[in-house]
Amino acid sequence: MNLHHILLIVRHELAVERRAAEVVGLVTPFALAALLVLPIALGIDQATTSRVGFAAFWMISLLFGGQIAWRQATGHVRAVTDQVRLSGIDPASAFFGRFLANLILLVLLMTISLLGTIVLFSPPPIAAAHWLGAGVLLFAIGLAVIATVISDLTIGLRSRGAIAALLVGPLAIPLVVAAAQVGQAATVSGQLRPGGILTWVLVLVLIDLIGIIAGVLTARPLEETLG
Amino acid sequence: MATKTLLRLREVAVSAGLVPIVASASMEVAPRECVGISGPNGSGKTTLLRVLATLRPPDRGEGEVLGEALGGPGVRNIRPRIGLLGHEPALAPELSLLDNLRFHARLRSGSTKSAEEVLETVGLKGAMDRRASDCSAGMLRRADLARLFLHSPDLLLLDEPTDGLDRDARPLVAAAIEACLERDGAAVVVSHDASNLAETSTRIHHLDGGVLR
Repeated sequence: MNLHHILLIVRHELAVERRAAEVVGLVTPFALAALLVLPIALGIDQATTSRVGFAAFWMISLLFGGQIAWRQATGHVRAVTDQVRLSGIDPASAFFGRFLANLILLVLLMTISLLGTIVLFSPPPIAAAHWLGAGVLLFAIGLAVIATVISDLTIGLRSRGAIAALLVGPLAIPLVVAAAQVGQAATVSGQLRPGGILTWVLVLVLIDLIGIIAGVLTARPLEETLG
Repeated sequence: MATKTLLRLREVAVSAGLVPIVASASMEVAPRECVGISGPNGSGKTTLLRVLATLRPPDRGEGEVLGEALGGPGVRNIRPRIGLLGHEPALAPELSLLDNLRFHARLRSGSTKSAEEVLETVGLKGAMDRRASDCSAGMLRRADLARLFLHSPDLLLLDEPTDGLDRDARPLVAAAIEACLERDGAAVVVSHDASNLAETSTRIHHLDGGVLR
């Protein structure tokens, strides 16, 4: 892999987002609005809203993170992808660059949503904030990998949008379950022990690593096969 | 140029699932040749051009582009020497024309001209900062054409290059082809209208019913 090529792709993807402002101007404000609606719907019972705060956060992360993942999986112009191939850039570098750009956007959404959750729901104090942060990051990595792999798999297909939507949701569910468990354990105990945070962190790390390695290793054969 | 023939196809066939798109295509293109391929809509011209661009391997038959076998591992090495103007503009709609061309310039490390220079060449100096999504089809075609002037391809593949271009811009297509041929390169131009090809092509093939004649 070539670092210069990876950064070139990251920069391009983020430039497209900066001009389109879909994540910052559309998805994130709607995610915050959805977070705002929930405590209003539950009434002003602070004990209840405090208890469901992180559950709401993970639900919002799945729904709106999935939206970003779907957008990233389907938004590329095929002719531009063709030119990237013709430029001679290593497909693994292109894959990793798109993955990093997706990751940055997802981390942005989740960070803002997490802050929104803390302000709106006043959840109980977190015993191990760093483990919650790790859960958020590992979830974002997994979702970014899923989005990038699906993008490569469905490029050129007529029903790309529908197929990507069908794939992103089910594949993201195990991730959000594991990440929510990390978050739950981080708020309750924060102890790094088997059966607690450690198991779920390892599950997430394993899913993420498998996704990244599979994506990098299959980028070249996939590119040549799909034509 | 190391090879005598820049491009050779022998009984190449391509299909989409069970539907044959190109049934049989055989041709050779030598340096300094510009070959036209005409055919009705849906006859497989764009698919054939993707095969020549090494973006799609043939399902049957064999071929060679710039000395590398189609579908072989070596095609990755010759891709930067291919200039492709596809049917759809290779421009991100969210970005300005200048940002799009800058991205393409950075992609090709051996770019000989800047994005600003090539946009000026195609008459888009005043529209550099306009988003691609806000441009007319003709402007997008010009901007896509500008991409070909960023580097010096040995093989130029053009899909309906004059589509959407006004009369003033048409000589730009001829200029791109001429510059490539002067470097001992070759060009393949496809169009549904054979009269579009007569001016620039040294010979014209016809693709009909999936067969290249």
